[in-house]
This record gives sequence, structure tokens and C-alpha cells, in this order.
Amino acid sequence: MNIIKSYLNNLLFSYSTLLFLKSRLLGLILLLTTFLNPTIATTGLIAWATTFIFSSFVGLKKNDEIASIFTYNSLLVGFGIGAIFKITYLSIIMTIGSSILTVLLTYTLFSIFATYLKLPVLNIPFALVSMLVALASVRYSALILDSFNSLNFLNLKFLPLSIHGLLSNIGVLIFLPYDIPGLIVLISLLFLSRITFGLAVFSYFIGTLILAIFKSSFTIAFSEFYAFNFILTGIAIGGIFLIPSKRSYILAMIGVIISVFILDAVSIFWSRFGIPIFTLPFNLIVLLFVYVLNSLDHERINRLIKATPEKSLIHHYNFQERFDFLLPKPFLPFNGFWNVYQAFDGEWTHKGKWKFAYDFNIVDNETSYKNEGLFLEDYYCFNKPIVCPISGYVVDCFDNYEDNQIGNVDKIHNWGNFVIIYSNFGYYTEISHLKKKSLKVKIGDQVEIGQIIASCGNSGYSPEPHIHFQIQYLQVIGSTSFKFKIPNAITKSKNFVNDGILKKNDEVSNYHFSRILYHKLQFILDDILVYQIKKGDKILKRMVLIVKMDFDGSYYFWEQATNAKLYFGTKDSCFVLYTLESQNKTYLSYIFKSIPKIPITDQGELFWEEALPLNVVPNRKPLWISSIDKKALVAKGKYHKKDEKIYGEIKVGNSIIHTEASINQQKGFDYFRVEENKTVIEFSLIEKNN
Amino acid sequence: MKKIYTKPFIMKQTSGYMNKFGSIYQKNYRSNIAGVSIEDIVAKADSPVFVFDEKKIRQTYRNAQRDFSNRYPKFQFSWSYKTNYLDAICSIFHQEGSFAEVVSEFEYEKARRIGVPGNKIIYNGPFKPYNSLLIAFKENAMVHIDNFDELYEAEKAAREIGKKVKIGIRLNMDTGTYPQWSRFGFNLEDGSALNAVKRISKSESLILNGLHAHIGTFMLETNAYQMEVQKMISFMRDIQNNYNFLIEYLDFGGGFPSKNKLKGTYLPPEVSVPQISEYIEAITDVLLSELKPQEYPMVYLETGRALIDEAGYLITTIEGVKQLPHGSKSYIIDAGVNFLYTSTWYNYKCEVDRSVNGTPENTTVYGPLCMNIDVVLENVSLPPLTKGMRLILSPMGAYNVTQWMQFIRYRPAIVLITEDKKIEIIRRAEKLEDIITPERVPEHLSKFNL
Repeated sequence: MNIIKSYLNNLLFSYSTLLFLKSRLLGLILLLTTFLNPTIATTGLIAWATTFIFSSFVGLKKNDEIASIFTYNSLLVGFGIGAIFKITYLSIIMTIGSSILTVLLTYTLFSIFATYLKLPVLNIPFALVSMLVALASVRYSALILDSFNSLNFLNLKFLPLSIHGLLSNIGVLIFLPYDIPGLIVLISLLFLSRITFGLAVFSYFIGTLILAIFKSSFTIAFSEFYAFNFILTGIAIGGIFLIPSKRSYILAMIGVIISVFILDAVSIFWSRFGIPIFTLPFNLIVLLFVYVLNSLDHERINRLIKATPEKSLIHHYNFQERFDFLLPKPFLPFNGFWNVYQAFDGEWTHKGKWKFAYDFNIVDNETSYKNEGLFLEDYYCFNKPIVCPISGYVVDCFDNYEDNQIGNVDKIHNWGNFVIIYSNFGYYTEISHLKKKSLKVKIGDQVEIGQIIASCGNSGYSPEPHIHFQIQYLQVIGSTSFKFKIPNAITKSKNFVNDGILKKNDEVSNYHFSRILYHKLQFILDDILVYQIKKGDKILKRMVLIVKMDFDGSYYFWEQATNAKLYFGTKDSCFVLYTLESQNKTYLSYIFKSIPKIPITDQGELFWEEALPLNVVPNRKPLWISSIDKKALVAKGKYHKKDEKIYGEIKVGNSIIHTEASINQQKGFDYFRVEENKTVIEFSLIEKNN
Repeated sequence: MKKIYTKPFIMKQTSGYMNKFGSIYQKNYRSNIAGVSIEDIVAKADSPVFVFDEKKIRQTYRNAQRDFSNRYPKFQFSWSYKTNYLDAICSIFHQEGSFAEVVSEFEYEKARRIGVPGNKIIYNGPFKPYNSLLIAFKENAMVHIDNFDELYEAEKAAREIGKKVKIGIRLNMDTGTYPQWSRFGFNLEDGSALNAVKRISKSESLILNGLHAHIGTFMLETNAYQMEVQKMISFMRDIQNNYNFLIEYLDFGGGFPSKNKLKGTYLPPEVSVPQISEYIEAITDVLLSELKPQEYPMVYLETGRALIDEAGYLITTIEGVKQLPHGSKSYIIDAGVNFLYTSTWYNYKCEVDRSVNGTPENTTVYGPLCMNIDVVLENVSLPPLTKGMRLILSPMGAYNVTQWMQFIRYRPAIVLITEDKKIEIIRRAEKLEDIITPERVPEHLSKFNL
């Protein structure tokens, strides 16, 4: 059963991938729609089946994501053949052959693109194979050509040219360039993803408008067969490879406009050889955009493409906005508060390849020294312990250079006394200007976060005592620095540095990790927590939460009654709630609102901010509107921990949600209290199993 | 200025500074405290007057706090109330982030009154009344148990309020110094500390989460603290390995000296007394080398004297000059030993409010009490002074204004020189009502005829 189900899934997903979406329902609609032309339906299915059989024959892994790229390209090739040729045993053989060719090409291109360019393959394999087929078929007189536009009964005669143009071009996406299939697809889009729908319609009209201006004829523009490239380009850039937003929409429209020229240029060139250009303009434009934006590390690049642009958008804010899994996150390499003397892109030495580095010293009353500051010992940071920022081992270190007298620098040994530590996460940290003979570790030593490794000195290019701190991906001193974040820095005003990026003259410290709080927030499998939920004075229900583990090793609180899951864990020494997954209404969202993140610290008081997922604090506007206005989209809570209590303030529109939670003396939480629109929901712990 | 008459006297001839009698008297006068002139202060608050320098208090605190926390991350000062529990002074420390360390129900109430939350109070002392234990437990104060009887009381109190209560115990130990303060807490070497831990582990209502020790006062030896830290860490390990307790904090007490000259010491305090940073370095060195980062407990220090002593001054006025029969000179000032508890063991620094010409000679400074013991300074080298000149005595910040007593005269005002050089009266001079208010005269004594 499971095998059939997975085959069926793959089939339906391959169809919905034609529109970059992942939806069984859409797949089914598209599959059924193709039967309006039984020829393409048949060749399509043959191509899909061939791909499937061939893939398993050569032992390709049945990884869903990749598999649907293979089958999707083959599907297109199958459609292409079915659209041009009548079904004969020859065209079937051709379909099978070209499908296999597509698989090989897809696999090869996928490897090259993914590894070297970090690019998707889109439907380049289809574009190339269909060109090959078109070229080859010129010599094959045995193949019987079919008329591409023969199913005129699928057109609605009363429609104006512009609408006809739109619908038929959307129909082309499943090789049915007629009004009715176009309409079916468009309506399904409207229900499934309004962002995709909007992008499709807008891209088409903008592309066609430009076309019409250049060709000075709307009739020619609306009859342009390849205008579907506009639609694909618009959807791909605006909603798939970028997170839907004002900026992505603008980029999408720019892409569409550029593709007009490419379309005409390519079609003139290719038509000399009698080759249809199919999706070539689309592939070219989208790949160019994605490559450039990806290389520039554009903030709106979509790193995890979900089923629809809407879901990508939600996920982006739920997850990627809240958690960074990519950048290195070392702790600060010292104890107590130190001052950022020079930050990233600093004014003196943090330039070029060393721009991602921090210099730290200790400052009191805006000076870094006592007395006259003429001696090393006058400087507050001199000889203060330097601690290990990561877990790993020492790969290189040196501590035999002299500490310079104040005002002098060692221009020959710029980096002075240093230590380079390899992190278990695959990067190196480098700390410079250590005191002579102060190293407490040697090459090869295993080190832990917080362990004393040396003292701050004034060696190397250092006019007054300070340390230089950077992350690099090579073991060599002086290597290029890379961006990183400090996960648990706090300022003197007790504010958590939410984005992990420090600015010049920030006075920062690691917060104290609390073993006690850590133990209190360690929920283990099958822990049971029973809460009584009250609304005002009225008792609503008894909620039983059980701690469970998912197949990927993540833990969640499971509310058996509603099957809602509240995922939690420890990340960067914070207790975090990752996501809330539920089909039904659940009161778990109140818990989420109260404690989306708790720094595990015994620091008496701390302030921080946290974005809240959309299914926890719902958005009032439809997603397609709020994708334009980020502020309307993200509800940010301001949180405040004072001893065992956590207070929150979430601004939603004009109203404010107040939350309060209290940590139990032994484990978990005593109560949660959420005041929303003048109603108070209160959870109180009435039972637990430990 | 008119030259002051002095009686003829014989003086040893010295040539230059190098001689076996030490340096000759340096011009040692002080015209202001924290930038405010002595006369301005006296004009506002009269003489005598205790003066505190807010800027200096904050600076000393911040230096020590920064020094410690830049070495060992989990560190917290707790202001020793008994050293100086004036509301204004305590508030300065609490503004700087210090917790409160109290040793009686009175100090506890005082700390609560100015707004210190219960869980930021360390409650020490050899006797804690039952009711104060109840309150402290309810408010989650850190209570340090001193003896077994108190342990039973604590258990009873915990049972009464019906919750599991976290407590600490006070330890005493041999740190190689004399005298060994063995009267406070449970002794480490004779096993009574371990017995206390065992007893607590058997209790249904008590949890042990902290260890406290206070090895002495005016400790001039930093090594003693290293020994203390070492012993407490190994005791903490013993407890954590053998009993189901997690020690959340270690409280190393206080006892750091100030730059006051102890009677009977030869070298001046600038030479003989180590800097606070030296104590901090000694303590943190042991902490950092003995502990792993994940097991770092919170560390408390209850430093009092070293943080406040040098920020306090006493301005007094010379009210009489007298030649004693054996030939030496003496002055009578307007502040007596009843305000100056610490005069018993310190030779204060004594500064005149102006530059005075004339040869200094050894003099005695008496207080105004009609008591023979009222000797403020026994042997101080002063130039010839006349009535009305001011003497500024220091360091005065620690203990005097808590241990002073009302006797014969009213106790004087206490002022604070703020950071922007304003003179704030933080305790006004006493009036008759202050003293007679608690008094009651029985009916039959209410009238008399003379």
C-alpha cells in the first residue's frame, strides 16, 4: 500500500511541480485536465512511468525532492512529444527514449548545478531534450505530426483577446493552449495560492504589454505563443526562489520585462534551425537572477522552498527569521563586560578580508585605563583572562612575542601572540594580541566553552591592550574572516543582543548559563504536565501534555485530545519553542505566546525580543497583502525575565497582548497567563508526574 | 597671618629626609572633600559631621565588581549592612547592583523597607529569631544556618510554611590565620559541617544549595582566601558527589581590609595592606583553576569595610588647646569616642583644613566627653593649631555610623557629597525628642519639687 501511495504521491507532485507548487489536489486536477487531449495525457504518463522504472533500474535513490524533479522534466518531455506527434508505437518509443535521456541529463545537470553553482535545474533538461527531439524528428518521416492547435472546441469564443491570451498561455503550461484548461488551472491557482495566481496574471500582462509596445500591436502580443515564459518567470522569481515580498515582486517584474528581449532574440535565432524555444528564456532569466542573488546572500533568498509561496512565507517568518542555522556562533571570549573597540567593517584595521572581526577591551567611564595610562598594568583589560569561545581543539598557538609598550606596535608580527581553535562545527576561531607567556593550552588540546586559555596582552599590531577575535575557515593565521553571530551576548542595560551582531562601543558580556534553570527546563520523554485552563473565572478544560519524540529526534509537547504538537528544544543556550503544529484549535498557542524563547540564565533580569509564528499570533490581513508589508506580517513580542517570571508584550495592530509565565521550583512552569482583548486565559499546573 | 605662639621646645636636628626617624611631617592638609570645601559642609550641617563621598563609593564598587567579573563570570556583591546601614548608603550599593547581607531581623526589615526583594537578601548571623526565619523563607531569602539548633528551627519553619526551602550553611575552617573564627558556623575539619549536610539530606523540607564562610576581618593575607576557596570547592564537590544536592552558590564572606592604620602596625597601610584587586586575583585564580566552566557556581562576596571605609570622613573642630603637665600638647575636639568605635583599633589619618606653619609635634587629641577614656588620637604629629580650626579624620566609612552610641551629646549629622557636588543631609543631627521619645516616666515619678 505504502509503495503505491508513494508512487501516486510522486505522480501527483510531478504534475503540480509544473506550476512550482506541491499539492496533491492540484496534481490531480492537472492530471485530469491533460485528458482533454488524450495524446499528451498518454505520453505524459508513459514518460513519467519510464522515468520511474529507469530510475529504480539504475538505482537512483527515491528521495522525494529529487525524484519529482526527474519525473517533472520527463513529464514535460512526454507532453512535448504528445503535443507534436500522434500516438504510434514510434512516438511511444521516442517518448521512452527521450525520458531516459532526460533522467540522465537531469541527474548530471542537478549534480553540477547544485554542487558548483548552488542553482536549481528548473526545466533545462526538458528544454534541451525537446530541442533534440525537434531536431531529430526532422529526419524521421515515419512519425506522424499532429496539429498543435486542433482542439478548438476548448476555446471560449466570447472572450476578449486579452483574456484568451492569458488563459491559453496558462494552458500551455500543461501543453493545452486553450481557454478552458487555462481557466481550470487559473481557478485552481486562485484557491491554492493567491500569490502564485497574482504573479501569473500580472507577469503575463506586463510581459505582453512590453511586447505590445515594442511590436506596436496588442493583437500580435496577445497571440504570442511563448508568452507563458513570462508567467513562469514571474512565479519563479516572485514567489518561489525568493520569499514573497515587495522586493521579490519588483524583481519578478524586472525579470519578466527582460525576458521579453531574450524571448524574441532567442526565438529568431533558434527558428532559423526550426527549433522551438520552449522554456529557454524562462530558464535563462531565473537562473541568472537566482545565481546573482544567491551569491550576494540576498536576505530574501528562499532557502527552503515549501509547498506554496504562502507556506514559504510562513515558514520564513516562523523559522528562518527566528533561528539561524548557518552562521558560526561562538561565545564571547572573555568574562564580564568588555567593550567593542572595533566592530565589523571597522575604521582602522577591520577592512577587506579581515572585515568580519571584533576588537575588545575593557572600558570604565569611557576610558580604558586608570592613572595616566602610561603602563600596560594601567589598562583594565591587560592580563585579564581570555576564555575559549567554542568547543573544539587548539590547532595553532604562539605566545613568545613581547607585549608592546603603550603607543608602540609590532609591525613585523601583526597578529602577535595568538591561538587558533578548531570548532567541532567546522570553522576556526582566532584570538590575537595575547600576553607573552600567558597561554594555558597547547596545540592539540581539547578545549571547552568558557575554559581559560590565555590572558589579554598587547603583542603584535596593538597600540594598547585589547584582543582581536575572528572566525575563519582556514587554519592559517591571517586567513580571510567570515561573518558570525554572538548567540548570547547581553548589554549592560540587561538587553539581549537579539541579532547577535555587535556594534562599536557596545559593552557586552556572555550571560551566565544557569545549571538550575537548565535542569528545570529539561523535559524528558513521557513527562506529563496537566494544566487547568481558565477563561476569566470560568474553568474551560483540563489540558494534558505529554512529552514525545519525533522521528527526527526533536521533542514536542503533545496534547492528546487535539493531536496538537508544540516542538521545543535548547538552542544557543536558550530554551525555545520551535513550531506549533495542529490541525484544530488548540490552547497550546497561548503557551507559545508566553515563552517562545527563554535564555537559560540566572541573570536576575533580562530583556529580549522574539518574533512569533503566524499560527500563534494570526495575521489579520490575507497573506498576499501582508507579503508586501513586512511589519504587518511579523508579530514581535518584547519579553522580560525577572527571576522566575517571564513577562511578554506582543503588539498586534493597535492592541497589546500581555503574557506572564512562572517557572516551577523543580521543573516546568507553574502557570501561564495571557491577557488578550480584555479576556484573561490562565493555565495553572495541577499535576505532574515527577 | 599672625604667627601662632608656641612654647619653646627642643627638637632633634635632622639633615635632609634620609634619617632613622622616618620622614619629617609633610604638609598634610585637606581643604575639601570630593570638591566641596570643608567650610561649606560645616555651614550646612554644623560640626562635627560625618561626610560620605558618593563618587568614591561608586568608583570603588565598580572597580572591584569589574575586576572580579572580568575574571570569574558569575559574581555578585552583597552589601554588608552591619558595616553601614544608612538608607542612603545602602541605596547607592543597591543602585550599583549589590544584594543585601544582613545579620539580624532588624537589618532584614531595614533592607526590605528600602525595597530589596527577599530573594536578594543573604541572611547570616549566629542567631535568627524563629519569626524572622519564617519571613525569610516565605520571601525566598538566602538563609545561612549557623548551628544545629538553628537547623532544627529552620526545618520547623519550613514545615510550617509548607514548602521545600533552600538553605545554605555557614562553615568555619583553618585557613592558616590567627585567630581562627571557629565560633561561627559548622567546622569543616572536625566533621560537623559534613554532619550538618547529612542531617539536611535526611530532611523532608530542606534543600542545601549554598555554602558560606567568613574567615576573619581585616585579613592582611590573600593566601588565606585561596585556602578558603580551595576548601569550599572540595567540600562542594564532596556534597555534590555524595548527596543529592546541587550547590548553586559559594559565599566567601568578607574581611578585606581598608587603608586604615591598625594600631601596633609598623608600616603605613599604603604599604602593608594589599589592594582589593589582589584579593580578587587570589580568589579567582583558585576558582578558575579548580572549576570547569559548566560547574561554575555563583560567587558572593560580603565585602563591607574595603568598599566604604575610605569614602567616609569626620569633620571636627578644635574647641580647646591645652598644655599637659608633662610638657606635651593636647587638643580638645567636638567629637568623642562614642561616635568613633573604630578609634579603639585604628590610628586615623588626621588632616587640618588649612596649611599651617610651624613645627609639628606629637600631640594627643581628646574628645568632648567628660570621661577619661575619651582619647581620639593618642600620638599624632600636628603643627601648632588654634581653636576653631578643623581636623578631618579618615577613613571613617565603616562601622562608625552603625556602632556609634548616643552618650552625653547628640549624635551629629551625616552628609553625602553627591556626584555633582551637592551636599545632601542623609541623617540629620539628633534632637532631644529623638532620645526621649521611647522613654516613659511612671505616674509616681512624673512630678518633683526642688
